[in-house]
Amino acid sequence: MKTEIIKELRYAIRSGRALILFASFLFFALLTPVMLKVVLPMVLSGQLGGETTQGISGLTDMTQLDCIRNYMDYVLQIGTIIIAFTLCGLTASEIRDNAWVLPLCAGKRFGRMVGAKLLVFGVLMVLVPIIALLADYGYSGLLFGFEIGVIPILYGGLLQGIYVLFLLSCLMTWGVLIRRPIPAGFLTLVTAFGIHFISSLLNIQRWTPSGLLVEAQKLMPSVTPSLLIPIAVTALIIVFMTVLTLSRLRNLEWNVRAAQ
Amino acid sequence: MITVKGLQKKFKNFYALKNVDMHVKKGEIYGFIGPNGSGKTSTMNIFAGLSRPAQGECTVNGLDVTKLTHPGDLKIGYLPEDPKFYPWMTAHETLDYLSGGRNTGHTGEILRWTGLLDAQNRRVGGFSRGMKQRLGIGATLIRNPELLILDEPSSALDPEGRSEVLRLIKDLKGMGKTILFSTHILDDMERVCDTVGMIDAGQMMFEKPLRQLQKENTQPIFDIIPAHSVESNISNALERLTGVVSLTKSERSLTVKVADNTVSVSVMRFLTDHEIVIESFSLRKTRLEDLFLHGVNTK
Repeated sequence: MKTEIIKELRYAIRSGRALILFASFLFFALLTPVMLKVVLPMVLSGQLGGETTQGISGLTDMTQLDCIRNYMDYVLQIGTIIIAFTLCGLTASEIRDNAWVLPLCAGKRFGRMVGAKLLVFGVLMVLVPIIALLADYGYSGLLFGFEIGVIPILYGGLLQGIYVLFLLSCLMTWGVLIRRPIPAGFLTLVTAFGIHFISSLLNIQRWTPSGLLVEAQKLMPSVTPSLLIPIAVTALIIVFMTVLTLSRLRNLEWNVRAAQ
Repeated sequence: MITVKGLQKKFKNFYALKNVDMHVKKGEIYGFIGPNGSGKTSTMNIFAGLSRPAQGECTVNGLDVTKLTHPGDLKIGYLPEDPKFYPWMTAHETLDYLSGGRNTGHTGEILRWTGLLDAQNRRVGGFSRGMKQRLGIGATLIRNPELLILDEPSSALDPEGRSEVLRLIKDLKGMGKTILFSTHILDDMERVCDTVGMIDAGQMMFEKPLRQLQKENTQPIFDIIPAHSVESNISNALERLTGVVSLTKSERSLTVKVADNTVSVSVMRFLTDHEIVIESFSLRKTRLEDLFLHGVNTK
């Protein structure tokens, strides 16, 4: 499986996917504190008239914790969209373009090919939110003053990372099922936002992957029992989607023309 | 190496293959011809384990393709019509990836043999069509298979690229490989094939050794080009010669249709007796292209 992993690493780096994801998450992680500390008071002072930005800052009473939670909200909204469209071709493009024909005939196994993708992009997807959240923590601490320790941040980032793994498995499954990258990205968004919306409406978030984001926003200093359910449910969904992906791959016809 | 009986392939309501029978013997180069959309790629996809037949028996490399769970189990080399590589990988990385990192010496040998050694560290995205095709042929050898299936390996290449691909195919035969390849360029097929099979509208039209095919379709017609113009009384006398069926005279040549090839002796003797200097005396051969067009037009 070593060559499959090296191939995915090369793809992540040379296609610029890893850079896009790191840059996007870091951008929002660093932008949020500036927005809340500088831009928001300026906008409000302009609207209220006469009030200084320092005065507005005092009125809004923004803290580091509020800043981090604001950023975590962005991750669900914009971050999900960025991930869906950056990685929408992970399986769909390769299958549609017949890029798997030569590897399959050379004896490459579906399990290893999919496993390498999950591993490389999974590790990347766990690292990106953690690093971005640490950057947000550090920068917001400098602007608002440090309020909490680094451990809750690491836990929060890790939970976001696990949620992103769920997005990754959705992208791979939809990609294999419909073999078109952009629709696969859209369907992943529909799945992610649909689950989030419906679970919020029915108040069952802890039984869905969205529960991870709710738990992450709590920024708890240690693992709590309430975490176990969303982690277990998300892990089960990831396993189910991976099995579905592999099963579909085994039944696909390869090297067929688009019209067929 | 490949035995096929009653092979059928269906796409929705359309039968791409209708009862195809084929037999590819070990060590031969089998040329697979047919017009566009005749079912060549569909057949080859089934042989490579990439597609499942609707019906029929198909044994490739000793394995029943209909019971196959993974294309890689066949242990054959397959080159699709338009091989897709990862453009961000170098040639060396591509072969290394396909080989699973095993036997790097073999990868180097393949790069040398395909003439890509100097380009091994260049990204495949920047390769010409010919280079990609050579890399593709190299990729089929990564597991050192006995059977190679090449779908249109020389099409869309310039004459130099075609020659290079044909050289590689001849080399492969020298290595003892069995090769099944399809092409539109019938001249290429005449240059390298042992057996020719023709498919049209999903049905096999014929499957014969190339020599037998040429022999069977050789017409007993001699094309004679005299050095000087032949007088009418001489040409009329030649037409009356025993065994000569007909004679057509044109400004530069004589076309003599005879009952059988043995008549050539009396024709040559006649020309010598009448002191006719000839520039060329040849038996007309039917080219594969003629057979192809005849087969397509008379179906």
